[in-house]
Amino acid sequence: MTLHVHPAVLWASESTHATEATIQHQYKVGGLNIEYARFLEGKPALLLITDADSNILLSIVGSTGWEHNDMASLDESFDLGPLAIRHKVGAASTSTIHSLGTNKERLWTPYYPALRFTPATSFNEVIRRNGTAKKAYLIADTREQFSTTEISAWPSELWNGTQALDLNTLPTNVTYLEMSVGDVTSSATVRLTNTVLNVNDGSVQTADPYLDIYFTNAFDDWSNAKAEMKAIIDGLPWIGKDIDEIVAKETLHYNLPTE
Amino acid sequence: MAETFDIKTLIPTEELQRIAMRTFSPGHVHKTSKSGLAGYDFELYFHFYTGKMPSRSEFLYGMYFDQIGDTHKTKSLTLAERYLGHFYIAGNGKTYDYYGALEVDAKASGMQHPEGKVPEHASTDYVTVPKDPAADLSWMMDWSFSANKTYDIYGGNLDALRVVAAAGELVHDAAPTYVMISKSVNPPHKYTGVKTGLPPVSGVKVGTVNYIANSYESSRPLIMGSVGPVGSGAMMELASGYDLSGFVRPVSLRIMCNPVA
Repeated sequence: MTLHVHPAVLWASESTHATEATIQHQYKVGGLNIEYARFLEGKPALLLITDADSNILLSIVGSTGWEHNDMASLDESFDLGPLAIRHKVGAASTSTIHSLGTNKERLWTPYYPALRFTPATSFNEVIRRNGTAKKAYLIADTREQFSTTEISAWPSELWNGTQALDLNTLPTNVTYLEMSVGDVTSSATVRLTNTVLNVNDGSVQTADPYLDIYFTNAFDDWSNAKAEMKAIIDGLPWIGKDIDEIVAKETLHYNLPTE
Repeated sequence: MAETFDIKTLIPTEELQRIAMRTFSPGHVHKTSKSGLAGYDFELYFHFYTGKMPSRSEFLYGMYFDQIGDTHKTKSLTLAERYLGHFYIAGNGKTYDYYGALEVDAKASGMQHPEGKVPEHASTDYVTVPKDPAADLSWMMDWSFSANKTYDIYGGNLDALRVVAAAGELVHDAAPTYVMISKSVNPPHKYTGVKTGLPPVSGVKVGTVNYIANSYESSRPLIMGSVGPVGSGAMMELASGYDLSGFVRPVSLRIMCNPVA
């Protein structure tokens, strides 16, 4: 049996933004047990920044949801582009090079849903404690017991900085993801305007208005999918990163005389 | 290199299985099985193709290649040219040549909601679909099709493919060789197919590439699997219709979801 399950299932199952008949549109908005109809869409969440000893330095309240439109941030572990092809135009006997576009677009990247954390506000974040940012955590309240906007509705030990974060004692139905943190020049997942945090020292902001997270193992191990695609494309004479590469591949493939 | 993430601490395996199950195992069906309400019904569309089944990475990227010899002996064919058509199953009780009713023409094991908490349906005219007592969370999809219902697969390129098959030009069986399952009547290939050509002056189409453009997320295929006759071991086995007749009768579909550790 040959069978593949696409990561798009995450979006199809969870998203409430769909335009066609979908799973979530079956359910009554605000209806009984609606919090059990999805696992991460529309859930209260925290973004925590800790020091090396897991002390909470910064905490931001917001919500999680699945995104599908903006693929520009999809990282290079999936990006094939740019690509061009030798395009046969209509019934004409000649072929021309056809660019498949100049911007990164879904064509070069999989349709891979992003889990997005959106902070409740875009203003300066409250620093809870002095220290140097070493780790970042996304904390998701999958049964909607807490709040997407009021951090004080969450257990104080998860945000106010008086205790170290203990991942072993999270409330039931709260899950987490550990992420890298760095300054705005870094390639870290969570980028801060300053990684040295001081409660008396003005403000710090996240460099991005939201956080997009892609998993490489949604239903399958996709970590080598880009390499598989590159191997296919390398074997096709009519597709390449630009005209020169296509001409070179064609010359080899069809044993054409070189100019 | 950007950071990549393991999904497990944020979505435990059993919750990932439940997310998948929710997509392919119905939660509710219209109680009179007569007239559903637009947008409320559980629907699955089965889109059939012939020829070379795309690789897993082509499926992930939504970018499909076909070369001379992959499907046709002397040409390359776009996905649209390889499309046989579709049928669908819906929870609104309606039945016709190319669609069937959930619980009438096809039975499915129902959704297993967490802690048995069934989310309230948008309409009181719907009732829950029972789950198979034997089913656990790994049963992403467990469907049995009625022996009395044959589906007319609709909207494809069957006439032209029959001509190609009669000329002995198909590389694969003259039959639906794979199926894509989605939530949309729009076939996964709908948007862009490009023929590619030879560099010298020549009319030969050496390859095709289909890719899925932005913004058509609802027509994305969610499952791609092999199709074959009974006993073939294909994902979808056909009791009849493993040919180009345009009429298929599937037996059953039981698809397990055991995510990679």
